[in-house]
Amino acid sequence: MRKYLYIFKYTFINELSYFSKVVFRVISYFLHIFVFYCVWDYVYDGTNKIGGFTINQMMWYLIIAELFMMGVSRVARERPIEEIKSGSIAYIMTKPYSYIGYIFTTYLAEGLIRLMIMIPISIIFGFIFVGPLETFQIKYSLIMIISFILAYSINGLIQILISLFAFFMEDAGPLHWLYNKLLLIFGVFFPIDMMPGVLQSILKYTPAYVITYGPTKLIVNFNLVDATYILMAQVIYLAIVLVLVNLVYRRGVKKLNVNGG
Amino acid sequence: MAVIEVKHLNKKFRVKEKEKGLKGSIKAIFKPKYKTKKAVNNISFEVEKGEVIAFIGPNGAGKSTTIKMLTGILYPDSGKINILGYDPTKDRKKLSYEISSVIGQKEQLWLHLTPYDNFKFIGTMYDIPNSVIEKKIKEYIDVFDLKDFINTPVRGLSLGQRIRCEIVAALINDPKILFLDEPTIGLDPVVKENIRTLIKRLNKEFKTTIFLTSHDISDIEKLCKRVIVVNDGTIVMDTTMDELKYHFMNKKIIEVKMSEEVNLDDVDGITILKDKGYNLKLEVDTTKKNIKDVLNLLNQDNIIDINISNIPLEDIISSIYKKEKK
Repeated sequence: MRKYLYIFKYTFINELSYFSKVVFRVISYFLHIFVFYCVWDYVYDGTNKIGGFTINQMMWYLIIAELFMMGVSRVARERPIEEIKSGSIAYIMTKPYSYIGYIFTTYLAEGLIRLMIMIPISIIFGFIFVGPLETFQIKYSLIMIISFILAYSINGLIQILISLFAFFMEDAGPLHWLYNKLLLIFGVFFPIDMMPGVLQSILKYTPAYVITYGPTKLIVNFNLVDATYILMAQVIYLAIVLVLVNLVYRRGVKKLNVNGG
Repeated sequence: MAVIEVKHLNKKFRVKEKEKGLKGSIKAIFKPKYKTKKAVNNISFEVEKGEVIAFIGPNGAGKSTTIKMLTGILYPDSGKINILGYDPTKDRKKLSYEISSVIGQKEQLWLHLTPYDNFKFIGTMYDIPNSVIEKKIKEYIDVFDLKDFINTPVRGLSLGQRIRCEIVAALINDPKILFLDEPTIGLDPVVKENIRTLIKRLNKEFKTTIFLTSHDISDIEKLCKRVIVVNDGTIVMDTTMDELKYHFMNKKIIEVKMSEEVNLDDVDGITILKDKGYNLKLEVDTTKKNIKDVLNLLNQDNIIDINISNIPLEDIISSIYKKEKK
């Protein structure tokens, strides 16, 4: 465990050098929110609720879900693919720590630094443009935080899983693109409740439910039944993804072809 | 005591093949073709504790593939490997505490951290207590002269300083075997010499077994006592450096500058490498012709300048590569 704490610590120190990158992220985050603020403002136009969301909830939903997407480190998405393609994964494999553990810890540390900056900024932004979230229930914040951490972890592991397909195929990039769009469309731009009935029941089994929609919904409009469902789904997802990541990694390593120097 | 034992090692690769042009590219999507390449073909050898061994061969000979199998990165198709009592494919993690590797072109250090932080980080990865790491770093700073840049982030170091730190980083876990794959690639002659001194010192002071691959013949000549030459996946020569040199010692190169033009034909034992009338370069096989006879053929009174030398090791090795290719 001490090793992974050190990976976390040194990634954190290393990431501080890229502080300026976060500034650009913040700008692009504001642009996204602003565009959707205008869209939703036009769509609501005096309507009280759409898909069970008031405009206040919808805007906070967008602010939080988008914060999640912007706060996600790209390390799980990019580094394994680069390292498998270039063959440099081979040299990390000879070190006495788990490759998956190393990437995952780096992903967490990078995410922490981004979120530490972006969470206060997004809250201030929300307060100024939307006003306080009317339905926020502070007494359940621990559950919300747990759900958010679980979502962040599942997302990292799924991204690692997709990246590991680079062992078997020439380019795993398009899979990431599809996955990212799934989260963005069904979890960020439009909450699952807005979808037609049949699609809703299908989407409840997808990563969008446990990663973006679930935890955001709990913050915006908490209820215990939803919370139980979401947390259970997250734990099941986490277990399945963990098994799959290890399975694919073990198979992939055996297939690893590192030619030349 | 053998620290590396390799028996009948084999490894094949499947390489994708594509016909030329657009048609070929489209065909490859629907019906990909593969070619099997034997990268390592029935290799066997042993390395004793404390040896500095050169594992050399032309590009694509199977050197790096062999190193990757020895360190547990690649799985052999067949054959046995025993490194310090471990099977690298089964005990990669346990083995990683006992060995280290430096790959010339690959960066293992974190660029935004200082060498000090990098060493500390790597030490922690090997479960070494903090106090021991600190002591080691202090020792390495003195032995390998790192004090001028120990607190400069790695991205600010020169290539030579960085490679020096890469090698020192590979020593943190006190490896019993150090695999060095092209450690001096891209370095200037002075830095190369520094790195060689460092490698020599760590073999002498820490009794580390060194397994080296390099295309730089000076690395091999100055560091190694034993040479294994591989080509097309097989070992074509396993000999000591002295024997290798001795074997080719009977060939000499004679360069002469004459005051009068000489007409010399190829005779048994003398090969004319260069003939510019007044300037000649000859290769003499001293088992067939001795130097005195060659000088007599040239007419000694007309010799203005002469240089007699051994064949450079570089030529010896490339002639071995070529011979095996034929």
